[in-house]
Amino acid sequence: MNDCERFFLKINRKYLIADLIAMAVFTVFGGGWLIAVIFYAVSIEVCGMNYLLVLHFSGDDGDALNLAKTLPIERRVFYRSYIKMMVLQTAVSSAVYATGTVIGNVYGLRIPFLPDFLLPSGTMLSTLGYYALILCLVLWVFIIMSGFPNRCSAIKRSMLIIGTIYIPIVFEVFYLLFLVIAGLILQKSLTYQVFAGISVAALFAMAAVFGIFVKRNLKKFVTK
Amino acid sequence: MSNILEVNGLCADVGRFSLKNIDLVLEPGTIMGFIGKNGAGKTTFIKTILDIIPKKSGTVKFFGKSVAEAEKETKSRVGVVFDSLIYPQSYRAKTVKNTIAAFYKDFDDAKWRRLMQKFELDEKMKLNEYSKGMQMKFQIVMALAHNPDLLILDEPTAGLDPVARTQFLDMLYDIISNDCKSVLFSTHITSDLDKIADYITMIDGGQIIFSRAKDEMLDHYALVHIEKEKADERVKSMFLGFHETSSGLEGVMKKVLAQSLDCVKTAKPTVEDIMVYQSMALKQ
Repeated sequence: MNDCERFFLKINRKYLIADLIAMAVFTVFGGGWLIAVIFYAVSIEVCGMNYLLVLHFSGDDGDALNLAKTLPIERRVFYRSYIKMMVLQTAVSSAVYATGTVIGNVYGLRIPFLPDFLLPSGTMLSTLGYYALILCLVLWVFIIMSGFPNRCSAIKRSMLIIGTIYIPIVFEVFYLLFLVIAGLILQKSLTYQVFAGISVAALFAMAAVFGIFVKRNLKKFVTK
Repeated sequence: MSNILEVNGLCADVGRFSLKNIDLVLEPGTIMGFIGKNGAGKTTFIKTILDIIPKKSGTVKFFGKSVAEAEKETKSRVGVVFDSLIYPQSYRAKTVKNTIAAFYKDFDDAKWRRLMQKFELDEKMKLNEYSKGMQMKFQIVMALAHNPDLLILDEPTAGLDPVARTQFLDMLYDIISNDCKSVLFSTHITSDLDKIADYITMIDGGQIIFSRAKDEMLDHYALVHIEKEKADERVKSMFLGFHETSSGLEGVMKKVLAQSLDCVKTAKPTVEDIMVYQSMALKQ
């Protein structure tokens, strides 16, 4: 673990603890509700922005990025740690939520105190439907939001876009991947597996776009 | 031993402002005053050498290495103080220290505490509860606590009232003389440099106007007052820069030239005199 990763964990300690508590609660009550995904999106956004803001990695112009650039951190490492920690947080959250969903459905641990439409679906199809819908909404809101701070630097805007738009896609990839693995373990039907496989492949393609975006942004970040 | 800082042919563009072909050398163990009026390019130069602003061309080497070559190593050996607080203001001083210290291998906790006490700063207070003077002191403490080989100060006294400025400078001189190896001190308040600078570099319009040893420079020039009727065109051309008063002309010229003139009053110039008249000359 490098200095930047330790720094990420240190400044987000309180948020990460809250995140763990929330994950435990969501898991006990059935796992991957849509509300859990929204909570997750907000949580990861808070942690990511906190990482950037504490080091003053923000400002209305490019030369206002003082503290982060005076610290003995290689910019490449600073940037990579940002992506790495957010993806790691995503992986852990989605694994926990997916496990919670599976356990909830198989063993009936789910406590239906929320309206039906907020409960995790028992089938891959409706789960995907829920998540696709919410993802679209979240993406549109964030696309509009990330366009608002038009006075901020291109780098900050790119960082915001990574945090707010692309990371939820990675979440989807992980979430579905874990569901597929769970499906395999539980020996679900062939149709289920084929459908899930196609979904995961599509999401991997989206993740590849994310990868290209991250790489291009890294180049911009290191040279500006 | 390599130079602490070596800048060659540095050019950078920031909006409409440009740094033009800057060469500068800071030798080990020296204190360089970096002077120029507001908007001359002091902060842009500092941000460019620190790689905060991208450079267009030229090379910048700290301790013989470029920032790109050894970013972590060079930056861990440089302490920077800007004219405004760069730390998160909603954090307590101690929290900021704990957060930032993790990045420095040589961060000295005991020294940080000692300096906090010396500057009478409460480590439990949030930075936004500090006055402007206290915030500058805190930046100095943070910059010195990791034992830098080079301290870069960008107008640390700007915005301080005279009392806070004097207090701040006294403590700073005390620390610099005991502690720091090399200093690049940017300011437009040149009297800040009178006590400590070994070299003076002046920048104007993004170009270096001169860079030389302070004492040699002060010996080289004379502050001259000459009566109006004796100030003909030949005499005016001898001035580095001058302004007209009701009784005559006052300005700076080379000491040897002043000695060749009759009936002139001369005095030893200050760094400020040279900066002011040099700026006037550039304007004229």
